[in-house]
Amino acid sequence: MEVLRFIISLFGFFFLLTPLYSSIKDKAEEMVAQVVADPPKFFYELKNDSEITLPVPSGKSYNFNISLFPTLLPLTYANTSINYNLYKEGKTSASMPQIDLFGGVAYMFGAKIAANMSDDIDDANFWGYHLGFLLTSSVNSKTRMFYGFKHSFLYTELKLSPNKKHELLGVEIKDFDSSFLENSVLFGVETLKDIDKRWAIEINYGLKNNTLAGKISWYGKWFELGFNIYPEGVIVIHPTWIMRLSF
Amino acid sequence: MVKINVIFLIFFSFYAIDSHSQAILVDFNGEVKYRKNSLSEWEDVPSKNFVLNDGSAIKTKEGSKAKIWINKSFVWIKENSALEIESTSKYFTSFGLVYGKLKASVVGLLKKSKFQVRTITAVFGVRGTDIMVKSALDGSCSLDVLYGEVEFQYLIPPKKGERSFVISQGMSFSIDDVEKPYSLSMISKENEREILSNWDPSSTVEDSYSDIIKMEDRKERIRNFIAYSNSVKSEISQFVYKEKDSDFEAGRTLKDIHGNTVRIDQRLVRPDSKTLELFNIVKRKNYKNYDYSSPYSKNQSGFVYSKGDVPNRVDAFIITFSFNKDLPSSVNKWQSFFSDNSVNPAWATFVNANLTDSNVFFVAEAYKYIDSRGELINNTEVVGVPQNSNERDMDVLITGVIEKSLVNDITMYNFKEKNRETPSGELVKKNNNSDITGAIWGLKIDGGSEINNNETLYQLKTNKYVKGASDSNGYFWLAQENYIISNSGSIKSRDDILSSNKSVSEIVKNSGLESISYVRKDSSGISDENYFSNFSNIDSILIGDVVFSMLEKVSSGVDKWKY
Repeated sequence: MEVLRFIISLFGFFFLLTPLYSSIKDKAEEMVAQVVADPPKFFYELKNDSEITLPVPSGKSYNFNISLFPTLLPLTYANTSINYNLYKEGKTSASMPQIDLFGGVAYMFGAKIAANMSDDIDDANFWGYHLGFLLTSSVNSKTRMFYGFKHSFLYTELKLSPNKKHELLGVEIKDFDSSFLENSVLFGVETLKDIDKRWAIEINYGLKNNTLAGKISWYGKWFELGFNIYPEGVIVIHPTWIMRLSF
Repeated sequence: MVKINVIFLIFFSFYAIDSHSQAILVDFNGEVKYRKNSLSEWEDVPSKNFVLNDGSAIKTKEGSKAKIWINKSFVWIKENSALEIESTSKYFTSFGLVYGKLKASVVGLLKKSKFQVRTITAVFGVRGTDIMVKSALDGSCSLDVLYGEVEFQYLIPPKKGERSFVISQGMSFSIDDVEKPYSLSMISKENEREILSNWDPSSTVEDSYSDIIKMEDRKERIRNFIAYSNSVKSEISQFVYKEKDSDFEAGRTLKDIHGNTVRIDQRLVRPDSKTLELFNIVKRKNYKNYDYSSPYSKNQSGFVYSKGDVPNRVDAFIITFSFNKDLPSSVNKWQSFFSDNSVNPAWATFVNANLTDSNVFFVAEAYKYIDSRGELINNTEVVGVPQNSNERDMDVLITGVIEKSLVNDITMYNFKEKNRETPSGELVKKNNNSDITGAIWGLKIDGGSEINNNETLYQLKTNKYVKGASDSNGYFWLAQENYIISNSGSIKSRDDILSSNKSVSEIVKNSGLESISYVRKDSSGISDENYFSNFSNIDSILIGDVVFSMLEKVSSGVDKWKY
């Protein structure tokens, strides 16, 4: 049962967001069942929350990002990413869009701690990276459209003790060791609402696994708040909180 | 030594030529004055395409405008403005706006090159494209950045705050009083429109707004994109809803036993919280004429087809189960739900229908859960006609030709005998007693037959029914031929299934059950004459794809895990 507790604890915080469900346990079990069906995909959605694919603001050269929620807290997904402005829009030619490169890494250190503390789990590893590019064109002085490509990779491994019998909702399990790779195209719009205050919407389509994700976010000088939407995900709406510094 | 000097001289000459560029007054109108340097007098500009050397200046009077070209970039000056040309080097271009208003559209800046506009109090280093600068002799100035960015620097350092910083696009900067701090705000709509308008001296009023029209067009496109995004979100929410509404979907294209190309769409839906419905829609672009379906049914009474070619044919096989408890919202919980002893089906229907015409020809069976017996039973009680014993526990068949709108009443078990006391074999709706015109029911009686084969997977059945369970209402027959076929339409043998060395999944994906039903008249045995004239057969193919994927999913996707 420690395995069940381990996975349930991963999204315990989401229960706060689901007041409509009369039985939290039922909901948790349902989620666990979906996680059991495809573990890497579930962990990829959480990792995707740490992948910042917004353009570098005009006047800045790069963004330094750390996703705080739901990645670092509470899931212990340590992560960082950088968006670097390679070319400023219209510098050599009026029709040339801004070109940004981005990349980042994520590692779930809590999985290792959980494995060390548990007799049932022998080892647990969750890590990944992403990289890509973004092209941004101004529609007017306050609105920019962006589009680009992102390559994401996640490695997931959970080894359970071979000396014990483990069951999850009636299914006997031993371990999983697989990865999730996705190549996505993304489109979005960014609008300047006030000095250093912007909001953006973004659609992200995964070509390899036909994954669809939406994002809506508001960001200022320091932080970005938003929602990631995974229509086919275990948890459809992920609220996000990201520290985002531009230099 | 002389050689080295010559090479150096040639190199330097090229560098000097390459690094220098010219500011040219390409267009103007009204009264525009020119001054060679700060010591010379103001004089009229002689003509267009006039070269403005470093140190020169121009000024515009009331109602006049000018346009300057330099290194692929343009600078426009409005009326009552004065501009000094400080440097026109390729790597350092500098203009001094003494007073008035200018717009600069800067492109093609080389790395480390600089393009700046200086006012009395500040320097604006242009890094991007379109800006507008206003300056006055009292030191006040303003800057609007349409695209790109501008590096601002005070000429006289302020008492407090930064001396230089970057102003990005969409921002408006102003110094109203040199003794007071600057202010920064969003660019106003009026200023944005002014920058976008055409500042060319020779432009007409219409020309002036062509760029604004272009911008409005771009805005329209962005609005369309946002509308598209919203529609995608709506699609997403519909998708999420559909995920609950339709738990499984599948589709397959194959050949039927007659050689027709068939498209089968299958989906499992929930008409309400307690009910599951498996739709199996069978579509054929062309349904070819035939006399008998197979050598096995040839010349067998009741199995002849008489309708001829049918274009755009649609048949359906619909299985509906309703339970005594709400189904779990998640498919993953069905396994535990169905293994719960307190859960039992309340009723079930199996409807086979020809949906090609406006009137639907169908045959159906219904089952009702009898608490006392703890099982689903198909007898007269399914149409609300009681029976005191199980003596006549024979199957009841529902059939008929009805309007399409009434098919749902059959699949959702909303029917009963019209006259409970003396059954007529006609049906009415359970909920409001209105007629289900064209639908009848009959009770199976002795007289039928069945032919099948242990090696080849087919079955021919004929059953006789008495309408309304009363001999006085007459008789009809159901002839049904069932074949297990491959995707190429051939009849499968027992060995194809049991000795194929194929996985269950492969067998399921390459097999279908074709069931052809005819309702015939009674003529001291089954006749070849249709009971419902002009409605010859129902030809459905049932595939196992949805059922198989449901089993896969309900078993918690165990294949993702190692054992």
